[in-house]
Amino acid sequence: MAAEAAQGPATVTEYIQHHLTNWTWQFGQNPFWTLDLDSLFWSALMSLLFVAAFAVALRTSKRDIDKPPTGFRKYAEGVVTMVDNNVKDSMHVAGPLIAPLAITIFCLVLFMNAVDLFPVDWWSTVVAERGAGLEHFKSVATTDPNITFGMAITVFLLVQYFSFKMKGAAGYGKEFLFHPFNHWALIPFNILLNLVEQVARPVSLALRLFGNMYAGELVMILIGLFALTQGWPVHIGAAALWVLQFVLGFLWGAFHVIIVLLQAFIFMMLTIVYLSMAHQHDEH
Amino acid sequence: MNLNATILAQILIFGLVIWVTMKFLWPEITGTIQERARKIAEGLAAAERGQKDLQAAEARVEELVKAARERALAMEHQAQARANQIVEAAKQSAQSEAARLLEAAQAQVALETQKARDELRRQVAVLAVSGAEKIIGREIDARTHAQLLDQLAAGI
Repeated sequence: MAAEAAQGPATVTEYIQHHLTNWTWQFGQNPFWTLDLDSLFWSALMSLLFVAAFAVALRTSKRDIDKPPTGFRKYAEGVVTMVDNNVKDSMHVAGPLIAPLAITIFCLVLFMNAVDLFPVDWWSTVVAERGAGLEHFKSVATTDPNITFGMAITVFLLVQYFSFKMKGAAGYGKEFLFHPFNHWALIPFNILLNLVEQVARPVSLALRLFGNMYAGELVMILIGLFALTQGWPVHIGAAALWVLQFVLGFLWGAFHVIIVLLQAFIFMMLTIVYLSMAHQHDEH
Repeated sequence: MNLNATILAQILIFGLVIWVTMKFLWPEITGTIQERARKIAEGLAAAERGQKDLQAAEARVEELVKAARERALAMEHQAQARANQIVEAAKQSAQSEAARLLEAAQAQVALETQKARDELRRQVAVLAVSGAEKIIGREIDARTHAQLLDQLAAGI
């Protein structure tokens, strides 16, 4: 914004392009063999943060087991209890994986989403470009479909694994063939329906999170355009645009807090639901 | 939106974090939370037990006090009855004593009266004899007329 404008005129297209391009590393002939280093960096960083925070909370909990929880530990235990309750409410059979998976998803998605609340130019331009000399650096990992698909596919694989484990190959196969219509003539139709259902789950999981966060980020970038070409607020029009940008950015940011939390919660809840369905035996 | 090998890397990272959480973090923290919940529940139960014990002790104290009061009351009644009894007995013995004394006195009086009467009779007899002697002018042999005299004395 200001810093950019002061350095040189950035066109609107350049600005948007700059913010939507990943820092990549291609290591194979095929363009598929590319890593989005910035997304992976944030993903790994937030994973570490999650594990570290969890470990700290755990240590405090253990040490102060006789004291009521305060401060950070209260939040940590609150999240743990919240996830635990949600899992217990929607599960008929308690699996050992569902609750830890749910809290991992909730916290990781929440943390990665929350980076969106930093000023839109802070990480990409100020830190990465000015500080580290990186041309492109996206900061919100969940606006990268690779990340959301990575998580959704992990959930999908776990659902398949538990479906086989809990129902057995025969049981799962039977469900695939005779669900929802319990008639031999409708087996092909059932297979098709189930395939679509199974595939639609990870796709919708991934795209829902990606779409919400990407749109939110895009609105942030668009708000950032107001003062982009104005430079320092030397005249009244530019000053008005600065103020407008600040106010809109604040409002959208405040609204975005809800989306950040909600998307993390939805991803978690849907995962719990899918996994609880994998644990259930068919009821007809 | 270009999908690439980042998906695989993300699956690895995510899977690793899930594994760490499932293996090390989650069981520990839920165990800790449950442990604390158990301790709190124990404390509450102990407090409730203490409350109950206190109530029981209070009830027992009240019972004891009541019993003691009742016993004191019973003792008081008993003492009252005993006192009454003693007084009554004293009264009775005094009355009987008085009656006995009265009777003795009456007997004495009767005896004295009888004695006086006998004396009087005897004197009357003597008087009668001496009177008769004077009238007749000779001595009357008391022995020969003893029967007569006795009849006279008895007639008085």
